[in-house]
Amino acid sequence: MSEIEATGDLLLFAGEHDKVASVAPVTAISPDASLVESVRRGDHDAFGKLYALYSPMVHGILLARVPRSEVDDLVQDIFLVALNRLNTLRDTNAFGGWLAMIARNRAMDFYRQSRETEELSEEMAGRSSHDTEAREVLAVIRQLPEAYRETLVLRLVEGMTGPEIAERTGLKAESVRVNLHRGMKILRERLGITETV
Amino acid sequence: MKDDYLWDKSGEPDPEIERLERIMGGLRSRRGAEDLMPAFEKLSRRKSVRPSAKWLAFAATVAFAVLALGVFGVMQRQTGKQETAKSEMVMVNPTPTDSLIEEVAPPNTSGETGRTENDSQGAATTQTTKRSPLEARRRNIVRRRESFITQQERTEGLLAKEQLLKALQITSTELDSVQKKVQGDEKAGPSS
Repeated sequence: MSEIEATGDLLLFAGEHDKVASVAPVTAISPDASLVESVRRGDHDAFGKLYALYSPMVHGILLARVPRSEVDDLVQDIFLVALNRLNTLRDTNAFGGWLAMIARNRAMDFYRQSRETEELSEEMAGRSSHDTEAREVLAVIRQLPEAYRETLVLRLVEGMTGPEIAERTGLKAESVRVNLHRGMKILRERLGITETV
Repeated sequence: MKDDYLWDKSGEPDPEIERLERIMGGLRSRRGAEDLMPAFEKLSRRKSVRPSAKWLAFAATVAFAVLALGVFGVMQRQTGKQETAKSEMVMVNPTPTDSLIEEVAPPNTSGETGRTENDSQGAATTQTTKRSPLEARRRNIVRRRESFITQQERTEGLLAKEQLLKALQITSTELDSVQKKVQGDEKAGPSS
């Protein structure tokens, strides 16, 4: 699996001019960095906290890309991979961006390996009307460009705010704001929701 | 503003966004870190056994230093052996350089000027046939000896020479005084 360490002004999703997503340069030492250091030393509580902080982000990134039934297992896989490679992370402040990159790459690998059976299992499972509506909206979101997709899932499913998305993923706040507003506008159009002024 | 609500949930809430949040919130994961704890413990145990990069670097540095010292020691020993062998070689033939050079280059005396060309040639050939094996060996030793004398050896030699001269001077003065005493005693005659 190819993996890029997010440590600078790395531009993501290049080639699509209308979407803005770039990694923010990390300068100050974040409180999460000390958590990462504690996890490196084998601190269980620190690992629990780090998981609670970052698992929604990983879950959201995966949910925007892979079948829902696979997401939970993949989240755990990604954390295991990250734990194994934690010593290779040079800048602990960039943990979020690094983990997000692992999650994106893992989602791509998932599609390279197997695909059809996952979609079937999702179809076969019995759902409530609320859940059916959620799946329908998710299906629409998944048809949006990647940068919008990820930001909207993190905002609407995981309940993260714009600043939280920027902080966790290591993206610039302006990029997240633009993607959130543009993505929401397209989603409203596709769902037939008229924007209230 | 409704834009602010989408951005950071502040300001006036957008009812459509709120509805979407309610619907989509059901897709959140409910799994915690508990399932991963055994794997985490296993990993951290394995990592605590594995030496860290810093320790590996330190061990590598120490190993390199020991290796360098070993190589240096071996080289020193070899040089020492070579020097001993050379000094032994010189001791086998301790003939002074000057006498060797004299032997190698025969003096051009006036008696030889009257000789004929053939005579001188014959003499030269007999000289070379007589001297050549010994001469070559000595020459070789002299060359080697000259090339092996270092600055330190020269200084040591000079110091030894000075010490020997001083000792000789002291001995000669002592001998003089003893001689004078003996001579004085003889002039005075026997006491008994």
